[in-house]
Amino acid sequence: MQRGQRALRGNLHVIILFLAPTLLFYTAFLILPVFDSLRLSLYSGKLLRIDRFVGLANFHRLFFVPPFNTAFFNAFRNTLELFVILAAIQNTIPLVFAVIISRVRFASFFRVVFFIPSLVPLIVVGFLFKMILNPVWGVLDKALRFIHLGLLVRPWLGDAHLAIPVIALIGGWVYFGLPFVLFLAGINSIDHEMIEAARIDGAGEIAVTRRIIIPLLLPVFGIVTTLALIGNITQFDLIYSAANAWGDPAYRTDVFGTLFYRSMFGANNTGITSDLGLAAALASVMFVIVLVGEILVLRFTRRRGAS
Amino acid sequence: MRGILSLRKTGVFLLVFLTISLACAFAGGSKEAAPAQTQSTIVVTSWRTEDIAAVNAINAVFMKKYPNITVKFDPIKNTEYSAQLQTALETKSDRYDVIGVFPFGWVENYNKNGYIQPLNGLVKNLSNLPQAVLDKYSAGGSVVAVPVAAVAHGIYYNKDIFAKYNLKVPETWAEFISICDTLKQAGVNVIAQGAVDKWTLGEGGFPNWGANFYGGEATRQALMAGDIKFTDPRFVKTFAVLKSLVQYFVPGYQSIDYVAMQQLFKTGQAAMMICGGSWELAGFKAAGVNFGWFPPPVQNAGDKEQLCFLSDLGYSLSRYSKNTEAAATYLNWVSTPEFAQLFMTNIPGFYSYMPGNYTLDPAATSILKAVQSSVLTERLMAQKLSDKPPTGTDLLDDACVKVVLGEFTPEQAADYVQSGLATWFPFK
Repeated sequence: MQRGQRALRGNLHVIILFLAPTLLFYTAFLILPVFDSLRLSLYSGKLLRIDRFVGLANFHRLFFVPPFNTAFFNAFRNTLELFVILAAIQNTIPLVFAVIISRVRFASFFRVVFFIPSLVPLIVVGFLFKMILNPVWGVLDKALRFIHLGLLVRPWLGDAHLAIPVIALIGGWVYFGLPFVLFLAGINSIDHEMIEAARIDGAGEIAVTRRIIIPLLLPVFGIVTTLALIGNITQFDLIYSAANAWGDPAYRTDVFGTLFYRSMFGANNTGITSDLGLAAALASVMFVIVLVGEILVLRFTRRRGAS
Repeated sequence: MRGILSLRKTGVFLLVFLTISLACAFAGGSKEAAPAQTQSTIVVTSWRTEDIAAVNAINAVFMKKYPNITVKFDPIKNTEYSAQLQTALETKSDRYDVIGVFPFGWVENYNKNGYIQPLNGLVKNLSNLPQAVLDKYSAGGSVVAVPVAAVAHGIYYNKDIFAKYNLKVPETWAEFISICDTLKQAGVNVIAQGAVDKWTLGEGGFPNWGANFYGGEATRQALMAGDIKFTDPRFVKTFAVLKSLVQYFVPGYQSIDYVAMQQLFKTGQAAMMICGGSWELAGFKAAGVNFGWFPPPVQNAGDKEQLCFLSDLGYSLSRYSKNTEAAATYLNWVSTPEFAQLFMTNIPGFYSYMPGNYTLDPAATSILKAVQSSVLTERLMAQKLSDKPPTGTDLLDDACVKVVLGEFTPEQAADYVQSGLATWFPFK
């Protein structure tokens, strides 16, 4: 538009002025460290002290040398499992609620209520659920027994098969708000005439949802999955507070975040000092995984959706 | 078309913005004038967050004696101790002056990284302590930490529960197992033990009740010398014993951590605690549980008891401390019988190496009696076997957890530890 272009030119110096501080801040604290991390992965060292250049030795250790590679692939598997389950939860349950709430009054009340859990710090949530799931005093087990479902009682956070899914459910509870709001906004932006037309043609609620709403929400699925991807590959707070920094039991809840924490800062009472190069190599790998994952997400959710 | 902001308005905006930012930058208050007298403050840290009240009481005595030195105790949660302390020391922070350390490889590591100062000559009263003990806290040819405390391992039991089922303190393992069976059949939680905090199995458990099975101190010496491997049948047997104990663990043990174990015992909901060391005394007394202690039962009647009495807390001086003189004065005081008595009175269960006659509370005294009549050994992997990753401590911890969770057989567990150690330890 002519008016817009002229407006842009006249205000260019103002725009740069307003953008500069944030851009500077963003580059200095977010962009540069990523590349510096890549650089650090080629060195060995402890904490903030660099020793010497070792080339790709850290990556070699990470992928091929036990016990480093067993720890890495174990963390990879756990992180992937956590991500898949969380992405599945976040793309379905909030959607169902959004579809229902979009037909109901007082939608803004629900928007607020459902958003509140995501405002509670993750550390607090993890700790609270740890108490709730505690086998000795936890409310959950007591409640199950009270309603005669005692058979379902398990050591939730200690069972090798249940630990990650349970933590994912906790994460799903916290991260409910944003996907819900996004889906609701997405549904409300769909042209109602299309839905009316479908209803006149005899489509039931399910068909309307399946054939019209979901395909048009594809970009929203993309956003939700992207957020899940970025948030979960680097997830630390949730695991740390619900389990601990060693991925107990037996490393079953060890994820990239906790593995990085241990590599970087040293582990428990053995006086073992940190391994900067290995931690940086792990961080670099995490970065690549998120990058590749994001590219895949974008490709998949742009393919059919109308922008 | 006019711009959103004219150049003049932009200039004004910039000026205001810069003024405010500069004002904020310089607004950080000016330092107070230094006081006239030389008042120094030293900060002591360790992993004993449970001892805050006790240590402050002990330090109050020191501060009365040396009024121009203030001592603050700032402990760090034990699971984060290593990480947080190292971060502080690596950044050369002067936040901590006196730091709590473990003996053997730990202090050697810290000395190698330049975190701590040699104490020979700086702390005159070191000569009060036996040389054999000082050796455990030495590195690079000098003593680098003042040995403060040692702890004994053993088994705690709830006297009320035992009385209720007419149980006697066991002396042999067979008696112990029959007690466990009786309690289990009665529906009582037998052993407060979980699989989450793995040190309770590999460090507080295996060398504790297991020492009598793998041959105690003599075996530990042989392992350190590389004469035997971890696949030795005695270690396999100890793993098998661990496996046999799992049936007596509190249900839901897979998610029970150390704090939960302590709580279970303190609230009388479990009959015994087998990873307990003498460091629990103060906490249990405060909780009011009617508890007793017995050394780990021997395999066969007549065996000599192998008791795990491990050198624990030592105090080192941070190289980055700005108050070396005050800290050295403090450490000098720590190396006296006066401190030893205060320490053992206020924090029962920790035993000082300082020679002397002390009055201890009855529970602590009974433990000491056992100490004096047993062959003493240290935690299996504490010395030499944890110097490099994968450390013996981590390997044994992980192996024990996997045995408890049923992922390893005893033979696999022993293999796991052996192959991990063999990557760097010079076995013969």
